[in-house]
Amino acid sequence: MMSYRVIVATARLGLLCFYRNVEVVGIERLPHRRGLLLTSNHTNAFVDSLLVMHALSPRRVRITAKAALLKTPLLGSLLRGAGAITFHRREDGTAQRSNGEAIDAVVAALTREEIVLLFPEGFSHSDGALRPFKSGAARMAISAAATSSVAVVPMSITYLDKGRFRSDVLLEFGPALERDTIRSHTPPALTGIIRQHVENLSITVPPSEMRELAWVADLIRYSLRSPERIGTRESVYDRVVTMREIAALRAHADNPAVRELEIAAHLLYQRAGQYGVRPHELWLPLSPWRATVFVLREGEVLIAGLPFALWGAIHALPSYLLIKTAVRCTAKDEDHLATHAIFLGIPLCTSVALVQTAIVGTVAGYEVALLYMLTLPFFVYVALLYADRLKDSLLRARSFLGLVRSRNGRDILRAEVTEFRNRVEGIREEIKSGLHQEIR
Amino acid sequence: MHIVEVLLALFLFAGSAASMWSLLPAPATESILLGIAGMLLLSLSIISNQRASLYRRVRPLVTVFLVFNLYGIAGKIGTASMYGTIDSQLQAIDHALVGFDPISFLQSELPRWSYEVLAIAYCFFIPYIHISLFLHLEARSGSDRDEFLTGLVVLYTCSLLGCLFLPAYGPAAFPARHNLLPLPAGPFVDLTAAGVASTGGLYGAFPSLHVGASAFLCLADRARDQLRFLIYVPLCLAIMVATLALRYHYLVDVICGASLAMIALPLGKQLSRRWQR
Repeated sequence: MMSYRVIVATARLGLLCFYRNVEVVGIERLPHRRGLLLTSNHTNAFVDSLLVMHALSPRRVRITAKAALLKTPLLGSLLRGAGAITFHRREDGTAQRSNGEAIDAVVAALTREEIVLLFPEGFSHSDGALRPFKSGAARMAISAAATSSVAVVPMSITYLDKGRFRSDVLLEFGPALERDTIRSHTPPALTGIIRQHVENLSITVPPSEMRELAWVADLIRYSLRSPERIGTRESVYDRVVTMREIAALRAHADNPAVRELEIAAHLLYQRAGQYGVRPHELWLPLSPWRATVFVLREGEVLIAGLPFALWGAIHALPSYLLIKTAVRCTAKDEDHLATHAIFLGIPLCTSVALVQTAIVGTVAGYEVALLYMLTLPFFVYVALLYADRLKDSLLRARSFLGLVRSRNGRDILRAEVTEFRNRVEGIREEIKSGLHQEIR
Repeated sequence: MHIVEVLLALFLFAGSAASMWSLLPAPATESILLGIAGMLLLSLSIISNQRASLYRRVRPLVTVFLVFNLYGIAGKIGTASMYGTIDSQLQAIDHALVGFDPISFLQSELPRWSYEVLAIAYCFFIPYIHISLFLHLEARSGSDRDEFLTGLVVLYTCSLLGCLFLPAYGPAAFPARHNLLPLPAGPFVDLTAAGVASTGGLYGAFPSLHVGASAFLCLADRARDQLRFLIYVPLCLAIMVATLALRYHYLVDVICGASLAMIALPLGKQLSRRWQR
């Protein structure tokens, strides 16, 4: 248990450094004192498991992984320390062995009222759409439900840009499937239900289209309202919900109105780009007073924070360069960028920090070295937040100047966006009523 | 913000600064004080009419003005009119808390250059609280602003009660008790001493409003602006040490000030919500 806590605490540092916002929704819905089988989409290798462990902490999660990973030196030790249950996959080239022991371990864990995380697709991938679910999760849930009050909790992990440093993540837990539901279905039927629930919580578009989807979502969400003050934590959930709705709309690509909307969205994207305006800043208040307050507020934070951020950045630079090089050498594809960065980042950062502390200790003495070591994480974290803030402030200033420079263009753009939003709402209603009529 | 709020804020600030720092000759100061009194009466008449359009705008500024100025008044009344001060009791509590006199301890441990650094932190207190108050009042609206103001008033009210009924001058007034040597001279050390002298000298040591107010504003940033919160945590910690090193407060003053700050924010929220019902 001690090593599990250490793994979670260490992983948390890596996750909070790599991702800007890690938001968790629906956790209050999770039943207590019952076995829970969490079933999730799988798009970011080991990072998915670390995120769930972090989200549910201090509750312990039994993660599952492919047995082939146990052979890798560092990850194998981590998996063993975390008490992972490993499965053999035909695709890994391991000999045909029964996964009986692993299945029994999952069922036993569920019976003991533990939480088990399973990825029913069996693979981490970047397809966008969910792959077919294997029936193992359903079978294990049905076996456990025979003797205990177990629940299946469909969940999703949505990355707005999974391989990008300082991007956002949302973990969303759906309503639990209760024991009665589990026991009243066959494994294939239950697998279908679980898949449907996970799909409802996911955005099924390829990662390459996520940025554009987020752009359109922001355009709609912030139509006719001011953007949040910089420094405020924006809700990733609200953004993802809108993205999901738009993705669902795009699924009706055979509808001519939907195709027209896609073209209109493209044109708006280009027009907004000409002014240098971000979609959620189109209705930025342009009064001189608000501009003055913005300059005062952001200027004060950026000036006051500069010494801390510089100190943190200078001392984090060796680690950053080392991790970047290591990730470039080891990560074969985008799926594993974040995993390698977080995974390698933790030991590399720790080693570099120890070397730096030793140098400081040699030069300035033991007490200064201790102070340096204790304050280094603070300064590095401030440097990360400062970089985010500086970027946001400069982009906000650019949006403001872009809007101020061309008032006519701004008004036309706003009118077009309002019309676009109304058309989106209209088509959504049409499709919804069309579906209702089909059902009737 | 409405232009009236800006003008009122500037007037109140300028008037307070001029009257408290004695920057102007006496007749001019009296005129300014009269002007302040007139604006205060006008403001009170506006805020007493909740339907007035300026009610929401003027109330926060008048609130802040009142609590700031009452601090000086209450502190002086307390030390002047109460039966005695509790400096010796506060010194005894310090000794009971840590087993030694923290003021003397700091004198023996701190290098000479650190006094200037701490004095700089101490001087930053005034611009920090004014800028922070402005940013919070500007960014918040409606019930959010009410909750913040109520918390601030709770903090100041508790502190003013302490100043009035548990008056203390602070360690600097009793150098012999702490075996204190004069502070190393420096521009900022001298500036803080001059500032304290110009506001009427030593009073109102318990609890430390320097610590309380700076901690309150820093904690208020925690939920709203994480970067700003983290940036000013070192300043708040430096202010805590500075108040001890410069001998304006006892350790128990600092602890109580910080504790009040931690309680005031959630308490202000609760009280405000209850009153709105």
